[in-house]
Amino acid sequence: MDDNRSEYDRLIKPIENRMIGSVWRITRNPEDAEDAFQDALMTIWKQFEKVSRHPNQHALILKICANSAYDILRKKSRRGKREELHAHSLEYQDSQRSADELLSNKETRIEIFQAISQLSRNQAVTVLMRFVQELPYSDIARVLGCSEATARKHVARARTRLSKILAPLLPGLQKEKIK
Amino acid sequence: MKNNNKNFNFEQFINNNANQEIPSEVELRLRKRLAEFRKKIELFELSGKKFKILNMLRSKTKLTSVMAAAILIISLGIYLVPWSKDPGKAFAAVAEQFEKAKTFTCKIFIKQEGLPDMDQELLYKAPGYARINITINDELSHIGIINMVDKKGINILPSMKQYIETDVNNVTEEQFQIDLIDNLRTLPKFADEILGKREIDGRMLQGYLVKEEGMKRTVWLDANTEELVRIDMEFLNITGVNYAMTDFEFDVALDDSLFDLTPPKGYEMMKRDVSDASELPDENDLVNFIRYLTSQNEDGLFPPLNDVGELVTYVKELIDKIPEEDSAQKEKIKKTVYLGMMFWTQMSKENDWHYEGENVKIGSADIPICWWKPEGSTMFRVLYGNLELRDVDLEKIRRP
Repeated sequence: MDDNRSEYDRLIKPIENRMIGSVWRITRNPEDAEDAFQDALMTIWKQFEKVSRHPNQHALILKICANSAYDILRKKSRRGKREELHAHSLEYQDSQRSADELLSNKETRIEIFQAISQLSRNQAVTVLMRFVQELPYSDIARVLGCSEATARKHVARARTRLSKILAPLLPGLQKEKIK
Repeated sequence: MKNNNKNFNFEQFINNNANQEIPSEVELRLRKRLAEFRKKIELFELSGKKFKILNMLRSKTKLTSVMAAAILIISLGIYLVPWSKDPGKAFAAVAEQFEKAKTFTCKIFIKQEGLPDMDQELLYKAPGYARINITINDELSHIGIINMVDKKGINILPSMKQYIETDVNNVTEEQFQIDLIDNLRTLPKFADEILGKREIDGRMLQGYLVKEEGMKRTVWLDANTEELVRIDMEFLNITGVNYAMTDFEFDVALDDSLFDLTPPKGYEMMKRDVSDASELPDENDLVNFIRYLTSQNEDGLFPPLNDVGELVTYVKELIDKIPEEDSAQKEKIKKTVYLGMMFWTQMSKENDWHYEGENVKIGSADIPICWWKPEGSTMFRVLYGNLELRDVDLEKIRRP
């Protein structure tokens, strides 16, 4: 390994796509995505030494991204800007799907992230890391500073809470075959 | 993957709905931010001079190595500005202390509007034994012992020489009003906000704010020693209740007998299965409770019960009036009161509870006494002066 390689190349470059992808998938709005991303980069900058010494730097950086995106979701949720979330996401629909499918999926996505914004920070970030960023529990536990069992517990509790919040959506979707 | 919700793959559900292609415009914006960030890092690394300086320190030429050391010290001075002592480390150390402690104890002072202040002593022993001694007005009012491993507990009431055994096998977490111990043991390693320093009780403390679902905690550490001094808890859905936790001790010797579920000698048992759904209060318990309250009123009016404090005071006065020799009746009334008050006091902001029975004549069929919105309902459940319950739209709940 070249010790003179920039820290950016070591820490950020390998996960650029995942960072961008996870922030977008959570916020779903160009301005919010940019705000969340900028907040995440600021946090990474301020904690750079800690990040660079962490045993799992990439997972930590992704956690910071999930955290920033969660904060944006929470702010939106408090201000009741569901209409805004709804309006902006209209611009980015996949034009190849049917109108019914689009409507159903768009609304479902709004509901899901609205629900996630109602979780506690630990639960929300754990869910986002697990379900959206697809990190293994070992990585999640490492960056949260807890045991794997505790990380699973956060997910289990979040799942229970999300099930309750999303209950109106689930009966219809249960009929779909999930592969 | 194991499905926990009627064969419904929740994880895939969220993943499927979360995944969406990133619009090119958005990707462009975010990559621009990354490019700026990259430049910032590279500038900060002084274009690789740091590594060059370290090589110079190994130089055999004394002058060169002294200069190199000077440059390094100056550079470190710059590095030290952003990389100065991280106050968050002290907080993380406290979180770890809770997570790893085999035992801990603390004192809890509870202030509730309209109710007497309460002092508690909490003792915890891994892997899941807890004891809470509750003192009200300097009298030991209640001892709660919980075995979280076997899901059993006992509540001891010294003043009444009674105990209640609880079998909590089927109780969900929501039924524990406050899971203090779990909240402490899963304190996150990073606080949401690092607050300023404040002098509390003559000691300079550094505060850390942790925000979680329904709750805010402020963790106070000694500004000099970084020792945990206090945790303040505020519940967002319950107004007027504050917890202050102090006097923390970790890994102290706690004898197993402190967590023994054997009832004390000479105490009478009152069995209560918390998991029995029939013991959970419902609106009929509220109606029975209010019926009892009104039965004791000589003026033919519903009592003024504008907050929980007034309610408790009113109820206590009624119960105190019942003769001691009438113990069976007293027990029946206590149960009516207990279930009714549980229903009343469990109302949250979402239920939008109202009691407006003061000065309403008992039997007034058209005047609403109290109303609330059950979870998941768009209508309000309204209790009228004749103790009938009806479902009503909010706009139609009228007072003459």
